[in-house]
Amino acid sequence: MINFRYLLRGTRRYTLAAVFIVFSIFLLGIISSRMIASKKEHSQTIMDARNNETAGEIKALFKEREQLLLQKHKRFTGAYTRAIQKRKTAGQKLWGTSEEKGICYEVLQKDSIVAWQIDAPLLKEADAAYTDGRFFFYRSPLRVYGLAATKKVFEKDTLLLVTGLLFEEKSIQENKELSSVSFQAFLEDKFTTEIIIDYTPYKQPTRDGRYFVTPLENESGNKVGQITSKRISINNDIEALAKTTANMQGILIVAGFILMGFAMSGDFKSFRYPVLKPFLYTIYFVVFRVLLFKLNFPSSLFTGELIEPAGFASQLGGGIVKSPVEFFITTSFFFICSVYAFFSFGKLIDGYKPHLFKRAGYIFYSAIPLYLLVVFASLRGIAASVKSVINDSTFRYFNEPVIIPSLPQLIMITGVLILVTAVLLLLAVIFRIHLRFAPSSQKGSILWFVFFEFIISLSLGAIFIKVQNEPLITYPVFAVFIFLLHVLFYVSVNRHLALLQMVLICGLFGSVIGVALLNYFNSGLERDSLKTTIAEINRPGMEFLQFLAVEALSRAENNAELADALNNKGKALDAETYLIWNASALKQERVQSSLWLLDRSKDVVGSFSTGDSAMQQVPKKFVALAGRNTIIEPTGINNNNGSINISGIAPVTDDGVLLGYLLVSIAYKQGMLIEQNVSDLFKSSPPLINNLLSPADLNIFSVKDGDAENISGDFYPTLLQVEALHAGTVKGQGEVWTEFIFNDENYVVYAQQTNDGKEGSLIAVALKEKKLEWSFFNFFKLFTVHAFIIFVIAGCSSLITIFRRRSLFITFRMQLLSGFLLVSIVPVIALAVFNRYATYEKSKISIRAALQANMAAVEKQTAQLPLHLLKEQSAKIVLEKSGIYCNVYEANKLTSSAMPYLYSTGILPAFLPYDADYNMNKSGLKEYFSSGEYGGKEYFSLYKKIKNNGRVYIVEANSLINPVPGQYSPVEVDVFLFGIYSLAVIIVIGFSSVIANRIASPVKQLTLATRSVAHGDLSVKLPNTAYGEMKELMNGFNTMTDELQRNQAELANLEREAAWKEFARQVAHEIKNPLTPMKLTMQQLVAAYKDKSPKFDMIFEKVSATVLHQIETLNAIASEFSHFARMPVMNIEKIDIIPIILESVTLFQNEKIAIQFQENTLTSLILLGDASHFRRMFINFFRNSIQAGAAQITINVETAGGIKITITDDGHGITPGNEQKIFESNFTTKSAGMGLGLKLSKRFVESLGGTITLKQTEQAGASFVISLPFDQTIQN
Amino acid sequence: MKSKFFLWMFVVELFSVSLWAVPALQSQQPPAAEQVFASIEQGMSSGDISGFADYFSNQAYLSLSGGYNGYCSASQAFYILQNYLKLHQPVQFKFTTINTTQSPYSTGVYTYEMKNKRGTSQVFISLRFSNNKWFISQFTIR
Repeated sequence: MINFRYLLRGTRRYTLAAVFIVFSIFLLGIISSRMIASKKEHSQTIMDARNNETAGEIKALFKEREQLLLQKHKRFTGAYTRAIQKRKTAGQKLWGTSEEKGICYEVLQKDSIVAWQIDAPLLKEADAAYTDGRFFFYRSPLRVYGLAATKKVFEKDTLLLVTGLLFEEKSIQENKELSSVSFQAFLEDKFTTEIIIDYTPYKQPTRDGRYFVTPLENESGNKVGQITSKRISINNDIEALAKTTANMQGILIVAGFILMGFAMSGDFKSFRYPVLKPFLYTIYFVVFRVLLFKLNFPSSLFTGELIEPAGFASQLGGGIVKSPVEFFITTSFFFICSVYAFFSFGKLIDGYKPHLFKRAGYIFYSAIPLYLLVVFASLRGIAASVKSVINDSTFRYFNEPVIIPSLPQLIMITGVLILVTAVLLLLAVIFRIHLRFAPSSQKGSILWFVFFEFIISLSLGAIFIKVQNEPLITYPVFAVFIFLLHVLFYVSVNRHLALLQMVLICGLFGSVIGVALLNYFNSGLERDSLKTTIAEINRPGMEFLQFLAVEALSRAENNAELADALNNKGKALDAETYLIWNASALKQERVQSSLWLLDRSKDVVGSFSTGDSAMQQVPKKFVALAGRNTIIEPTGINNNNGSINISGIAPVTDDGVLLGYLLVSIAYKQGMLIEQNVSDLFKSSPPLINNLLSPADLNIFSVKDGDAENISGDFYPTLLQVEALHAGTVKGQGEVWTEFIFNDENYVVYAQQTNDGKEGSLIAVALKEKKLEWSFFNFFKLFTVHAFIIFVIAGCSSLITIFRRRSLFITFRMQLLSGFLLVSIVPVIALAVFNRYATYEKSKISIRAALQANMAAVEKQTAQLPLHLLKEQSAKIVLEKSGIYCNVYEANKLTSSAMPYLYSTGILPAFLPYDADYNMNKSGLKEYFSSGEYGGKEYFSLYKKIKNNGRVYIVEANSLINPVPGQYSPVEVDVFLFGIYSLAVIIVIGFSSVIANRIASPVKQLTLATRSVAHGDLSVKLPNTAYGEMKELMNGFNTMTDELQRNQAELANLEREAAWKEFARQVAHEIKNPLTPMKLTMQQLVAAYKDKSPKFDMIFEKVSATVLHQIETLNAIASEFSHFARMPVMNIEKIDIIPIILESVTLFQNEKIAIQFQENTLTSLILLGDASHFRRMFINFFRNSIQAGAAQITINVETAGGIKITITDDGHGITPGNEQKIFESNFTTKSAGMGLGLKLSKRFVESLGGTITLKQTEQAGASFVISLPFDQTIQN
Repeated sequence: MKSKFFLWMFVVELFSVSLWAVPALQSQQPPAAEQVFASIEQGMSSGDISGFADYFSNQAYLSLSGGYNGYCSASQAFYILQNYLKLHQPVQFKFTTINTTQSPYSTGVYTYEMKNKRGTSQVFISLRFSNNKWFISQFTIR
């Protein structure tokens, strides 16, 4: 019979659960293999069902989108109609882009666009398949929309209201802010199979048996398109099942391991050798971590940058930190182990007294080198880890102008904080272990010891750095960290902090060290990126350009869409050409490129170019060469400006039939590194080399034949500097690092010899050194994140404490601090907000002025142009003459652009934005300034009307393509102000804390002292360190307690005397009573004897009876007085002794003594006794220990063999010979005191049936054991 | 007793030094560029890049279609490429051009299967020689 009660008791239930889980894992494996076998057996039936299911799901997903669109359309038409009927400007709602991602609106009147959003399809009425609100697809050159259009008649006007839902964005968007919608990609991800969507109702279904077709029908049953899916094979299904089983087994393994930990926790706690416990826990957590890594858990639950090695990847531990999530989990496990190590070693140290006291000093001194080695190695370990966080990651914590980091970055930053905090905790406990062996003469002077260690560390640290081949940090940085470390050690030892307080303080110090290291290594990487810049300049060689040409032309092969486009010449082939470029490697590289699509007759039918005007010329030589083969040849190498050109042509065929040709030209020159590229507009960040530097910061120049030629930037080296570079590259085997001064600014310069074989030619990059204020707000940017995390942890801890206490107790100190912070931080924040607003507004005004200046130049150049040039060439002419990019519109249609390819391909709409159209054309403004957002970047546009030949045109210049120099973007303003005001807030918090502490500390001391007095301890004294009235108050309190003590002693004496007098009077009185009759009767007896009375016998009997009776009376009187002399009546009741001890300990929290419970001490123990007597007894013991010079008292409470309360201190102990005398009345070795404390304590304990014994005493302390009877029955 | 102890210590140290020295001696001659390309071809064909992972430089330029594009450390390059090959399961990889002149480079075609669909990509790899060793300076798969 299984005893379940036994199995479910204590930790056994966890063991039972773990066994059950192991059984489940095996069972899952068996079930899974059976299911797989069954699937294989019935594969055809299952696959048919699965494919039908897939078809149903696809239809449902399509229907979901259709319903969303129709819902939005209904709402839009309703709102627009109501606005029109109320005579309001309905179209205003359509300004800018839609707030709902993927949804857009427009309004047409016949073929004119009345109102539209920037991302609207801009179709013509004829393009609408239905105008009664039914769903249909519309294909623009670059996108596919699902549309619903409804015709509405408003008075005399008939409008077509259109709502669109984006289904496909054909071009690949690098910028995450831009839409990257693809219904096809979504379905492919979901069903893990090939999916082809035809957004037209006219496509014939395929007859290929490997595919099945799902028609797409709108609500009215009209076919609008079809989805062709590759049949899912049984292998996919089996793989999916195996993966699911593996995931479930993984989760069960993890759960089982956790339960095993709980099961073993009891054994861990009662392990015989406490010093090994942290190692046991560490082994457990290391095994757990490796298990999670092998099971790919929980990384398998995350997607995106959190698990991408591009975010962070190190090969440490075989890949155990190969993504941001893995890094965070590993550091968290390390942190748990270090917290436990700190906690358990700390307790061991506190309760441990080195028995080999005489040799303790030798151990202390001889362990210094080992201790320092551990410290130095740990610091190097931290530095190496943080360096890896910078170097092995693409996150740029200091260069991205955002205050709130992204989630992956936040995880990395938090991981650094956790890692450094964990190491500091371990170092703190090692320091405390080392300190424990310090000789006693130094033990009382912790500051002296810390200073001694600090000096030794600095001295030996210099040697440590010197002997390393590659020191990670410089000596000044090392010295600062050693200083911070020792400040932390001093605080941790001197203040006797609780575990959580220690963790939080280590966190703050760890944050300072971690962020400083991050900044330091980032600066190093910025320096190294100069080398990468040179590599980037030299990277595109002729062979690479050839590869780019091959890659681009390979897209002409087997390209069904391209073949389709060439077959239907009516299509906008510029867009098709752009799509080829967009999908190719050309987009990713900083080269100029042009693509052309030619038809069979070799006429250009489509083009796209990112090059200058020379690049936009069709290479006619290649057109002539076009044939059935791909031809690629260099077209020019210019050694003077380092430019190289290559062109190529390839046929486009469909089933062997020639349809046309794809022609490509690629050019690269060194300066292109800095030029703005069209593709940069669509990337997620401005063009950055290795994402570290902005090209605007780089100064690149080349040196040939002794002459320096500027490629980019404002740096012009002198002849001497050029000579120094030459000499340096010769000496440095082809490269050199140096520093130059230019225009009173320091520059770091890296130069490298070029590979063109010419002697003395080199290329160099110079970077201006950052000013101190930039390092400053870089630091605060991350430190604030750390501080916020620490603050949240502290806040949660406080909330838990409040919840446990069920009361909100706000200390006086906290009230003061809150008051100070409220008074000072609120104005700081208000000032920051105001400054931000003011700076942003000023920035806008300045941008507008710059754009107006651009506009003035445009006006001047277009004023005299003939009409035909104005309409079609004006923007190009303006660009050539003044370098300003602008657009020219007639009414609301684009007529000329400096970047025509953006519009001819459909990347941007060739229409005036609706808000500009409304203000300029309808409202009649001559100039209009607006803001917009593209790809996550805010920009400003200025529109102005110009007249030419009696016609009015609108010219647009914007800051998106025309960068306005010297302006802070709003985010950069935020970062800059944030840095400054963060410092202000930190200073305010620091000063407020110090001041609040100084004011509240004496009050707290007074409170505790008053409580001690209330409990009978009149020997408490307040320190004389306060100032002003506080000092007077404290002195007054000390005087009061002295007086009370004296009065108490005097009163005790007087009372004793009075008691004795009263006692003596009572005794005399009581004794007299029986003595009188005794005297009288004896006198009678004597008289009778003298008189020889015949009644003598009778008188004798009577007298003896009387005397005996009076003697009995005297005896009774003596007994009564004896009973009266006993102790006063105690209030015996059931009490929990542990809280009483804790209350007594609390009274000493401000004294220079650490009172702690030993590990394994009971947390609750009920016994019979008098609470106030116990309290007085413990206070007496603690006071005795303090007066004996103890710095540490350890209390242990156990019930093995009866209740034993052991109180051990490290004072000077009991003088040999006095071990028994201490329990006697009036024995004391102190200058003050009645010598009754231990006597009374012993009497009290003995009255409860217990004993007090002095267990041991030596020069290093004393240990008393209070033994009391243990009653199990009263424990519940 | 003491002398035996020191004798054992000497033997242990000699053994340790020899363990260190032999690989050090072996590593003095770097492989030729052809060997490097051969190991890359083998690794890409099998989907296991550990054979040529050591050749990634600390600032290698990595450009993968639908994936990472930019400079990264050797560790990052290893895991990024490994993940890429897991997603784009190799069917075949062959170099079409191998040039082992002063600046060695090679081009090839990588055929893969992803989500039940087959595709091809063009590959470009260049090497540079530094500190007596070949490093991959650029790895492009488009």
